[in-house]
Amino acid sequence: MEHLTPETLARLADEAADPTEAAHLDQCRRCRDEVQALQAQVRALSHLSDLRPPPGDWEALEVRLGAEGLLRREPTETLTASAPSRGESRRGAGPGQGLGGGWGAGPSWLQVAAAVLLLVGGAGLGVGAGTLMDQGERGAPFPSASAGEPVGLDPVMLAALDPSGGEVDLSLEDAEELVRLTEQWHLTALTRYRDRALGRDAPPTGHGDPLTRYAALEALMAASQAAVREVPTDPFLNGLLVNMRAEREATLRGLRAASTADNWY
Amino acid sequence: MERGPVPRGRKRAMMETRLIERASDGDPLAIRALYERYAPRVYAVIRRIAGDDDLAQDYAQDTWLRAVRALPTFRGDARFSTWLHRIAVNTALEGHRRNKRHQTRREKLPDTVPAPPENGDPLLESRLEAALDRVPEGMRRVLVLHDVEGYTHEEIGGLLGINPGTSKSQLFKARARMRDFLRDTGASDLEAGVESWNT
Repeated sequence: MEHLTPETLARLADEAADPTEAAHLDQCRRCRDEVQALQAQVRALSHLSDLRPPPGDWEALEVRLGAEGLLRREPTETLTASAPSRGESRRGAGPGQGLGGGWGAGPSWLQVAAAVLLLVGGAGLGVGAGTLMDQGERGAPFPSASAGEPVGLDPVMLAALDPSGGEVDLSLEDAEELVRLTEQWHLTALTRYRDRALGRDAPPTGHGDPLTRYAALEALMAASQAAVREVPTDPFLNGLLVNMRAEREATLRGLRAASTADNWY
Repeated sequence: MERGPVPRGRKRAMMETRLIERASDGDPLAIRALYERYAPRVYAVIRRIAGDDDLAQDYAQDTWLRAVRALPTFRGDARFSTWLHRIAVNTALEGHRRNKRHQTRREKLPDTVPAPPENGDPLLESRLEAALDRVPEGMRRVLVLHDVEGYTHEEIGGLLGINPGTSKSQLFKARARMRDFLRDTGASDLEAGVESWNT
């Protein structure tokens, strides 16, 4: 018996079979199974998750936006001297650019850190009165630490960040948003820490042998993946997996860079 | 006068309108807020069209630059996410045409970090992404636009400058290639994973 061609089977994943094809499918289990597998593939593709941009992406974009004059500048003593080349922008702003360069009156990572302190401290000080908040800006994902600017989360979300706080009436949607934002901040903070501790492009030799570290991260990744398979919707486990993967990829890049530097050719 | 609670969707839309206004005025925090909200969506479609992390990062940055430049002309006829998505797709496709000569296929570990999946299996997603990367470029663009992003063949034809029939035939070839790549990596898991998504 002659089977249907792969392209025909692929078409039948979401189109009706003509009478000849239908007659064949009635008799041929292999082709039927294949159509079902292709239908599963199409469904799986339509459910793919979004992808996180690589660490440093915002910082590189910030420099380019600033260089084009697209960011409103505050009076500042240190501004980026020039736009990076495409290659530079791809790699992201280096630690120096991240600290002194960019658009604003101060380094954006310090703004984030200060804002997080404000958020947690504010919650502890009973911001429930809402005087520091702009209700209209609820959920704005990047809190501001600039003078007179309202912090970007509302009192309920703020209170939810306070570990010593009591019961918080947080909707599922807000809780998800909070996890997403804090995870983003955590990743940014980890990247900053690594850049500061090791130098952006240096292999992570500060933490022992990089190959051993990579192997250890691989083991942790496998454990995290297994955990996520068990509880696929658990945000903590997913966050752990994402962080682990980011760290593993960073270590791998460091290893590659070191390996390239060692090559004589 | 006491006002009733604003419905969630409307509140979000109001907030977004304000963010867009502030961002179009060059407010760095508002731009950052829009970036944080939409960067994973923008990066995902671009990464899948580009099939390469470095190119994807370039195209994603170009997308944001274009979008911020064009923000003052955004009038809200379409949703902001739709408007931005269109810019992302066009930027990736133009970039792809520009960089065609550089597009030698490379087998390498993707640098991309997936956002935490809302449902489903991250391992399954990794396999799908890896298989997607292996599909030849022309077919992959059609596959991504149709099966991942939900464009019609007419829309794809318009974007790629091909007729809808060509889009269809490229799609079926691409699906068959994907199927081949996935067969080796556990299609039964794929079906099981999809079932878990559907339940």
